[in-house]
Amino acid sequence: MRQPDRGGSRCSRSTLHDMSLGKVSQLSPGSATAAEADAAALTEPGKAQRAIWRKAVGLLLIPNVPLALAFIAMLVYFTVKLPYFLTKPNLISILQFSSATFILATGFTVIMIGGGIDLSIGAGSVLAGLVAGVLTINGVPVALAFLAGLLTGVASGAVNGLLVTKMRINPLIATLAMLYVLEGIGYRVTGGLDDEVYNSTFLFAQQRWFGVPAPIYIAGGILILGWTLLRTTKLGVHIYALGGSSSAARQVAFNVERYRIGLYTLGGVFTGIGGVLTASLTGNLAPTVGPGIEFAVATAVLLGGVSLTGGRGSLIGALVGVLFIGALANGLVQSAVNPELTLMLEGILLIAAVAIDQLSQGGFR
Amino acid sequence: MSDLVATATELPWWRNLIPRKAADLSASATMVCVLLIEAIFFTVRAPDFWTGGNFSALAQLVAILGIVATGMTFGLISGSLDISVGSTLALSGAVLTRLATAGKPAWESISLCLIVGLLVGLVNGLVVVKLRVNPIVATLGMLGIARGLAYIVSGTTYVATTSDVGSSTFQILQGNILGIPRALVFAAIVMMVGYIVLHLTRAGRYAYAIGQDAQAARSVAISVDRLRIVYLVVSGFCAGLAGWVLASEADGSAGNAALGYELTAVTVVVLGGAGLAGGTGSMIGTALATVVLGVLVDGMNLMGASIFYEFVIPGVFLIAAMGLDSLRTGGYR
Repeated sequence: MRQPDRGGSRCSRSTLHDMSLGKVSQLSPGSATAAEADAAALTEPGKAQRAIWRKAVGLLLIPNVPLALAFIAMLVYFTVKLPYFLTKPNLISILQFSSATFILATGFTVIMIGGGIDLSIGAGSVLAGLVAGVLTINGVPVALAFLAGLLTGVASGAVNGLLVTKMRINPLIATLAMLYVLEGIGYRVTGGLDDEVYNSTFLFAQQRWFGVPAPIYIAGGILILGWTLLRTTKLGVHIYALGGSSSAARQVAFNVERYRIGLYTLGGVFTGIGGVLTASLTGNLAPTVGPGIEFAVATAVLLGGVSLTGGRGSLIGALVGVLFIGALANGLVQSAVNPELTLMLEGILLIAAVAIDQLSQGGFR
Repeated sequence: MSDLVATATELPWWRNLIPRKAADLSASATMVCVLLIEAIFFTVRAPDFWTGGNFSALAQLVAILGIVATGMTFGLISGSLDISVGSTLALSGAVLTRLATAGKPAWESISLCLIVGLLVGLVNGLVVVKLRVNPIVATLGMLGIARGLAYIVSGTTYVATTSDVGSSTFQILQGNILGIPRALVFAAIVMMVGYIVLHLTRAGRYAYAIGQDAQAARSVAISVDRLRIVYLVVSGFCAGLAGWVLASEADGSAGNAALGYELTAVTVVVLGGAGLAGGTGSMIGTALATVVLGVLVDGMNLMGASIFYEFVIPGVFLIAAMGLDSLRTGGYR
């Protein structure tokens, strides 16, 4: 059993207190009816309030309830405050700019459900876009350049997998180190300068197919693919099992190491696709440093109810998380607030999401 | 664990000054060897290495890195890695710059800069202990929050002092004492205090106990939760001190200062012998690793290496150090 901490002991003490009160009222002469007990509870406003408070907190800890409440509150706020927010062009714009984030979030979700984490996903996707863009500028056919970008993502994922399995480095640290390595390589690829791609084939993501921006189709395809993978295939079941308990998976003769390498490599596929799509959407090639894409993705996925400790979560949850973050960023930009506020809000939401996820199962001790 | 508490209380205090384990000694010896190799390499390849100008640049680098790493050593030994230090450094530096250039007196600007670092550490500690969030994730969130705040405080532009307003505040840590840069002397004092607190006081020794086995530490009535907050506050406070040094170095610092600095700091502390699982590491190791990495980065700058190496080399070093650590401890499974 867990040793009760200070908060826990306070809780158990009050329970003891409640029990002893009940005992006293039973022992007391005369009738102690339920009505009297209720009256007694009413005379102690602190206690009743505490019970309500505890029930409310318990309700908030149910997965997806806080996110749903926050989503509704945010939509109402922005709709009232911004006349342009709830219009069709703006909603399509939110979807368009959430597409690449969602593809990255799919990779992140798969890795998280499998019990890992990949903080290098942002840097990896930027690098994939840079490789594809620089190759296109240098006259390589666009299809080949896209393939090279995709392979860059796959390679970075595979390296992550090898670091975690062969060198046995904690995935948080291994992928954090990879984040900086990939950012450094990004500078090497571009020579540290920003660049623009004007090739119209490369910029296919700026087109509209049947009136809907192209990235939305791709994200939709990824959603169907990822959902099918996680929910209907044997591999998906195995990924959940691996994340649920790697030692149990090992017991039933899983090759945990091989699955983990595969898991990070699969994440790398999504990193590559997302990176190439982002580059195609913006046409802008700029190596970046500092907290960025991985921050938005991690916040969205954790908000969507995917557990930090693995084995729990769904792609639909991640989708809702991505839309939440996308709508939030869109609304904040329209409100003309300081853009850095988005970063701060994401940081707060990240902590809140993990706290809600972890508090229900004991958390860090 | 009980063995550890016993050694800390029964042996004479000076015994704690000597590394007790052979592993600690061998790690220190390795580090000194690496330092010698670096010195020889840069003497041959970078002709400006042994100049006074480079010495003061190296001193600044080592001073900031050493102060941040001192705080981080406390966190990592007790099992909570603080990766928000880069952003905290930028935030406190930006606060100091903003106040000093607005003509506020030196004591006011500096104490607010330090309080900012302290508060960031306190929030980190409360999130880890009260909300039970994994420390790496909690401080990852803070990395974004503090960075955003730093941009807001400094207004994203570099606050260069065109006038002399505030220069008296910055001058406190500029210049030399007895030929040694003041920043370096300051860092040495901070590291010395860190050394004394970590190795000679009960609160410091408990960091090892908590890092090795928090449950066992709880059962011998060590107030694990309170101390965890304290270690993260120390980490934030040291980042605040480093922000002071950073802002003093160039008459002010901007919100985008020290991007990715957490990587360098983690690398130093892990190279110095602290494992991610907690319970290992020492201040001597951290100090040696600071010099090793400081000389490496400085030498690379002298050789005209790009930002490519600035990010890739610490990253590779960190992976290598973590790989060695997992060889020792069995690693992640």
